[in-house]
Amino acid sequence: MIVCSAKLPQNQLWRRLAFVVACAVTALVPLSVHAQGPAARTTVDGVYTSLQATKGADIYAMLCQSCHSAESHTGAPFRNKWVGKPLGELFAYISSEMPKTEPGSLSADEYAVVLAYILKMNGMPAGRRTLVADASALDSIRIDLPKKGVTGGSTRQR
Amino acid sequence: MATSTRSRQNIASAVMGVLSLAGVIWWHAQALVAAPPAPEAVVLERGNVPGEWRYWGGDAWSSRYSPLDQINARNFDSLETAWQWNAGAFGKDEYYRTTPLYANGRLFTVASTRRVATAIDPETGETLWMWRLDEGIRWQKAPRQFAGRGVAYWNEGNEERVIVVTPGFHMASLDAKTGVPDPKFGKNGIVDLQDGLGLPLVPLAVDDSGPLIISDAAPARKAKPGETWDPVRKIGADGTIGIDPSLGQIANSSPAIIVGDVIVVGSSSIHGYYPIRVRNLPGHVRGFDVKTGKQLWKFNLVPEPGEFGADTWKNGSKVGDEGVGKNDAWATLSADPELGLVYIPVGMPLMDEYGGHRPGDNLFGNSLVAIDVKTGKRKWHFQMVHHDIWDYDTPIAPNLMDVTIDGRARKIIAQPTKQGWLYVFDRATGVPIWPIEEKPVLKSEVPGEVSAPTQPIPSKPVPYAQQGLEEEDLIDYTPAIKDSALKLARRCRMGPYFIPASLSDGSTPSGLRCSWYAPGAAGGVNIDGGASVDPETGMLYVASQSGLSTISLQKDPCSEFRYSSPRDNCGLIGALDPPPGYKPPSERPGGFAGRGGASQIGGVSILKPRELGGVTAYNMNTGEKAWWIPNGGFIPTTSRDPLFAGVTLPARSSAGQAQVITTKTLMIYGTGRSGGVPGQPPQLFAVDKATGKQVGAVGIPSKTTAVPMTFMHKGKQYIVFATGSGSNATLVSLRLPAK
Repeated sequence: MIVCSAKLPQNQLWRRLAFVVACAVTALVPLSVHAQGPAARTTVDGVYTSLQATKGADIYAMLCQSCHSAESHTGAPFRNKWVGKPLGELFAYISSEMPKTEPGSLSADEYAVVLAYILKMNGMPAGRRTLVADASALDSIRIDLPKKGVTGGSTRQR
Repeated sequence: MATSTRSRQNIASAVMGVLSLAGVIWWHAQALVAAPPAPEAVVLERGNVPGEWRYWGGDAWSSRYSPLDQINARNFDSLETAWQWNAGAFGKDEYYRTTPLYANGRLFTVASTRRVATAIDPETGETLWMWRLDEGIRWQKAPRQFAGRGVAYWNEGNEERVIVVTPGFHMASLDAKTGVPDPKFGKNGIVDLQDGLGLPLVPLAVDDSGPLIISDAAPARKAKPGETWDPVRKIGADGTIGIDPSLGQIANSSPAIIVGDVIVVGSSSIHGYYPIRVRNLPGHVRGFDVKTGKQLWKFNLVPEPGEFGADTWKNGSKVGDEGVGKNDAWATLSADPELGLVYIPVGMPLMDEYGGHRPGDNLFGNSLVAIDVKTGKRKWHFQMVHHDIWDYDTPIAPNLMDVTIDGRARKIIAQPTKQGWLYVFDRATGVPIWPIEEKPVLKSEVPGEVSAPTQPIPSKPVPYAQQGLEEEDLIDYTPAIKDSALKLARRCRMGPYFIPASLSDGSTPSGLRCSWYAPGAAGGVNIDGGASVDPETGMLYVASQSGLSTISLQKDPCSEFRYSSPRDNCGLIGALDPPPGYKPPSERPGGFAGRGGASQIGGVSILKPRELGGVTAYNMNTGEKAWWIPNGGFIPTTSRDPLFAGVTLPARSSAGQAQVITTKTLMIYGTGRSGGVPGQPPQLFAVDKATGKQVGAVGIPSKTTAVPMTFMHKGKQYIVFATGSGSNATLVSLRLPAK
């Protein structure tokens, strides 16, 4: 796996052990999902880095939040609209339509980190892979929610 | 004002409801401030003490000008950070929108989504006092839940007041020395601004713990009899009262302006992007006695039946009539204290891009209205966009100037707008200084939409932002490039300006799925940018952006509107049920629906680079454009597309809206939150006012997020500006190093 070629920490044994374990687990996940089909990598597989989500949070607060509260991008609104779709579609949507008042005004990398933050808001875990700023590359990742679901969001209550 | 007994009770119960909910909190540290100087013997200039900054726009005329020159071209680069004030300590925010005031030795500002009011020691950045109001559901479901743009200041003798309007639409009068609410004002220092509108106040309840979702999804509701608060799930009725949310939402986003002893305050509505309901509350402007908080007058920005302009609402203009809502005075205000007039830039009616539910010109939407501050009567008005379907709110305080035109002294007012034109009038009469002619514009093809046949087009000055899209606007470096650009341009509806939206399914006669949109919904000018002036020379400096995007409409099955922006509200609280089997359409821009990317070939805009956006200087004695600069610099343009092989592409102007002020010798600007050259560190720039040449630049911690301000305190000139967002919202103060 690509993730295992990262430079190993040299000093701390426990970190090295943790890394090896994490590496092994990461290696197993794709094996199991590959058996289901070629497009089976999903947003619960650690498809963005926590650094991306942190950067994305800043941009989100600066440019997105005045219209889009967390509630409009989590829970039922997100589930109804996006689950099951390719991540590339969400990336293409954000990068061509947003911000509503100045669509397309961010760089591709900025759109990617905002997307990483939206995934984080929905409880999808960060990982070691960087979310690439390319809609067609992101089409191989399916949008899925973590199993225990995501709480919050102003969903319709019946 | 004739207040009925019933509404008096409502005022009392409203305030008591809020007070009993969680109480008004303040603390003060009077000992930290030196005793204020003796009552000033200073002559006010445009309502301001020279060297202070007593209004959001610097003075009552919104000059955004200071006569100070301690900071000048020779020393600008040596500016140092005097202090940083952490607004994030008071709670979260969106991007930090405030421009502080400086009056009589103190700085005053707002912070956090609660719109906490504070005073700050200008020398040290130490907090002197703070005041906040717990507004319960009124805050939770406020349509403008952010720190706001600032406060208003008033003084008489030794009495000084700071007036703050909260997100939940209460107005407080605070002692400027201590932050303590003035017990003589309203009820214990507070006026409930949802009262006095002629609508009953009812107990409020919520079914979820989150905020309003744009535009009007997940609203509060009227409480059921006996309903109580569930503190665990944070739902139910919390004891707050307000206007029945089924009628709509109303709040505030910009500070009041005080003229004489009258506080003039507007209102702010929901965003009009994707509303569910075709009815909402209309906007208005009101005058209040600064000493008592008594409501003196109310001016309806959607005229009620029988009032002037009601006939511009062909389906009716009452609260609850289909299509009625908004026309809100959400932006900052200006005034001429000598003429006794306050100038109201008015936003657009309900629903940004479709007006089929509100046939007519929709006064006073998109107008500049001059109101007599004593009587509340309209002196004059000018509607700059009839029947708006482009989100062209009048977005910022107009600039007042005294200039000499054709040898004659003129009192003028200049209104910067989203639509890229400066509209200039005699500010006493409203007569245009240079002709503004009604010209035929394109007709909407969208079913049910009767677009205005003409729009008023200023003959002078020239616009500062791209207008529509025509063949002559396209890049034409080679015949092949020109052909490709034209082919792309023809995929959306073209025209000189005011191009109505197309339907995204291509079902109208032209078959087009989009229309070109320039300027877009954020301008041109928006509240982030706007103009400053030089009262000595008659120059005016407009900060704007210029670009090209597209606009389309489609049906949202979960909204009452026949057409909306391409999106749906399905699944949200308050939305209509979707029809059986409805599936949201694919969001992937199907080959060509993208707004931003749609105007590019190989990463190159089809729009010819022009001297638009950035900062445009106009000589208002002549109406001529004097110079232009980009907002922070130029960005090189490159493309790998073979179409551009061998062509040297001109650099493009940096994006975003600059934030300008003027001083005795400089025009100073920050790039704004989305401006500047990518990769360059954030900076504050100084420019020669006569030529536009950059004469200074200083690194700042992060980009400006609101218009800066400047003042003299204890012999030192300071520049203070807001920056950051979220929990990083900060005020930054600059001054020259000690010698």
